[in-house]
Amino acid sequence: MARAADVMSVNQCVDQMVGYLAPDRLSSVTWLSHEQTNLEIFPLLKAIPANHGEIEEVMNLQPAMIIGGQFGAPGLKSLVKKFGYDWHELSLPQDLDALYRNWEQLGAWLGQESRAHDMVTRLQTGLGDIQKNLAPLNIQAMVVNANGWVAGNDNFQDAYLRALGLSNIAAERGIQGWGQVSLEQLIYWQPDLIIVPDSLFGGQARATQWMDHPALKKVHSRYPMVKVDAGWLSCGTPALLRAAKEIQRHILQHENNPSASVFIHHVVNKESDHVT
Amino acid sequence: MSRSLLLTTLTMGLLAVMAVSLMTGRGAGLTWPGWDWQSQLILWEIRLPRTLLAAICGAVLGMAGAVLQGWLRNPLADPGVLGISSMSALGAVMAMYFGLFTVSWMVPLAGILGAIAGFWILITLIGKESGILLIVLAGAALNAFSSAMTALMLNLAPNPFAMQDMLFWLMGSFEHRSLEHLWLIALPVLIGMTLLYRLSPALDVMALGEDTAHSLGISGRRVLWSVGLGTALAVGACVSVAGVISFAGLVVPHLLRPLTQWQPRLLVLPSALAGALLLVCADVLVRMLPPGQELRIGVVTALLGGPFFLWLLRHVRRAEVEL
Amino acid sequence: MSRNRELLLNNASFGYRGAPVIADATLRFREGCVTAILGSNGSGKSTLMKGILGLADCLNGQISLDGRDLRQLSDMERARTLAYLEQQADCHWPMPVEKVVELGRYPYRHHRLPAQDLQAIDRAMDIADVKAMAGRKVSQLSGGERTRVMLARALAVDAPILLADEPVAGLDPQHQLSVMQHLRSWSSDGRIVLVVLHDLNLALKYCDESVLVTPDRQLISGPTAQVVNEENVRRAFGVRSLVGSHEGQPYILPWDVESC
Repeated sequence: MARAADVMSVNQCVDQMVGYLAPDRLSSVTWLSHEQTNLEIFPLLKAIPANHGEIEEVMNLQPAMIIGGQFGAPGLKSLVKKFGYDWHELSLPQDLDALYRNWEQLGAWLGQESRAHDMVTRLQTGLGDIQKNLAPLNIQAMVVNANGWVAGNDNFQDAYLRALGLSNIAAERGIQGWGQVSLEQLIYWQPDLIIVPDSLFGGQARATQWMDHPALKKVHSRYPMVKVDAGWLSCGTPALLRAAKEIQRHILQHENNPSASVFIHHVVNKESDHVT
Repeated sequence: MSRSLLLTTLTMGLLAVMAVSLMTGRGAGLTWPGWDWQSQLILWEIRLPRTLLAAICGAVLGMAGAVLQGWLRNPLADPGVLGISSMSALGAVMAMYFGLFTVSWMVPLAGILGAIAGFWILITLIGKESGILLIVLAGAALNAFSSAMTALMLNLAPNPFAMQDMLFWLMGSFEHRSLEHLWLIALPVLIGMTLLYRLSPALDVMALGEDTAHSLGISGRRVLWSVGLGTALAVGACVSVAGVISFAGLVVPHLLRPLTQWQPRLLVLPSALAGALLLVCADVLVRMLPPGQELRIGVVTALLGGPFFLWLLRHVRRAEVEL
Repeated sequence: MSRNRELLLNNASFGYRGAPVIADATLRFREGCVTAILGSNGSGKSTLMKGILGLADCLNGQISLDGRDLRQLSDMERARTLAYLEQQADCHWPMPVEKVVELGRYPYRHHRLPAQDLQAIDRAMDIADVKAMAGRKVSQLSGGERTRVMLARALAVDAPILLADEPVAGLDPQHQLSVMQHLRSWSSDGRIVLVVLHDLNLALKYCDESVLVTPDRQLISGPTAQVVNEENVRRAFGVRSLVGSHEGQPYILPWDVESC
């Protein structure tokens, strides 16, 4: 049963999630989803008109349903409600269970419960398989985001690391929520694996460039640093699974070949087989 | 205070704060570095480049401030106030975020070109004889314009993390710098500072005015080129690796002027040393705060320099410079 | 031995951006001579001086010293040849007087003879009567004292030619007379001295020769007593004067604006 495109999304992750569950019903996505990425969902979203979260756009589109995130567009939210549109919002997940609940919830709103359920199963089994492989290795890892922000306890990235069977050294060192690390701390902490969310597009930025500091290259960690496309980690879609597989591949590859550990492995540059 | 005493004091002070800087970790406070490989790596690969870079950039800003003030006979001149630094940041940003970053020296080169453009706009279009306040006003306009353009460029940059670099470019930082950065700017800084330093004898003569200086054998055009190129090379290179750090070049010459008999010539070298001292100190201060506190070195220098600048403005307006 | 030095302007025109202010000046300034440059405000006296210095463009003609084209000299050679005292000269920073006078030795900085430098500075400070204030800051001096410091700075160059643009402006009568007296003795050492003056009597008393620039940019030159007469003064300044003499020295007193 094909319904007209009547769902407007004003959140980048919602764009992607609806893109997986009910692509035909997406009438508008955020402009951010039109920015070049190598997500598999990108070509699909690129073909759907973009919005900037303005009430005028809502009135123009007259969507049956507007879906946003918990913290974005507070001004739009109140306006949309005032004009009587159907507003839904997904909470920001702090762990994987919350993410799965979001999928189920979205599935219910869109009438795509079975697809949502399949998605949850897909993510669960995918991550579960990886956890089985990696957990025995006892790897202390950490995700170092732009400008040195790292995830501590009570944080989705922390939950993600644990779901992969990795222990989060930042949380172990007492970081709560989000914290910032310096080069010096990284050298003292000596994580087995550093995961750097980076951008494949648009060249360098100081915010991530500092992870190329020569001092870090002189630290003989168990595995070389791995750079993963930041876009893959930002929303709880199959891209998360894809990133996890890359991290697993990276670990297993260097587990067998530890001598190669001096070089940073650029996962993101090799991937092109995954376009829908 | 005799000159050798002044220079010795500044050098000793600089060496002392550099030693403190080598012992200061971000958020870790002052600690004696151990002999384990981690401490040694941090000392030589992280703190040393950072300290040297802060010293070099401070020396450049102090010297450029002293030379610009002497040359323009304007106590309010400084690469930051005149907008040369922010133009240089704009140049570097344009190169770095828009695909010109294929070779590492492109960013300093673009920073230098930006500084040349800023200098050219200021001096050639506004004119250096247009009065103390007018040229400062022009500098303020140039500053506002190029900072806004830098923000715009970072907004438009294809890299999603570019926006997070805004603070770095506008407020400066020596965080995460390595010896690579040091080598990258060594040559332009060396040439620039040589050009500026070689001008110092002429600066005293410039105090007598353009025409008299000409009659004493100083070619205004040659001095213009030296000041322009020297400032652009040294400041442009520094800004491209450390962002804009304002007011350092303004404050330092002023504090030293009474100690150098108000002779612009004698001010150049001490200003370089004191500029280095100031920035290394400021950078130590920045690191004393726990991580997560986003205090930038430019904020420290602005906290010091901003009120000072206003105070100076008041004095200049009243009775030129008996400061 | 050394022949008499001679600064020669041959058909020289000076101006700015291609527009002449002084046209086709042919003048001869001899050593041992003080020459006054006189004329009304804006008549081009300063431009004449700046033209010789290279500060105004030389549009055509030649300027030569002893047959040598001044424009061929390097910046430093020219600086050692021509000393210049700017109109309303001042020092921007409150530097010590002594250091300001020392700046006159800048053109010699590549081959400095300390003894000679010190001697020149000492003599200049003597002549300009600024020795007593050597250690003070220029900013603490009165306007007249500052003018004398600047004169000392120009004298310290010890150049064969001195160009002084209104060196006595703002000085009290005693210092006016003494500065002129010193310029005169300065010239008698075999130097060429050009002085822009507004005081016709100082010209009559201390200057051997004069160049009078008229409002229509004509140059009247010759011995001062001949140049500064009632008729020429009327032509140049538009004033009627009283003339007289004291002990054989002529004087002239501008008395009345000439009515049309």
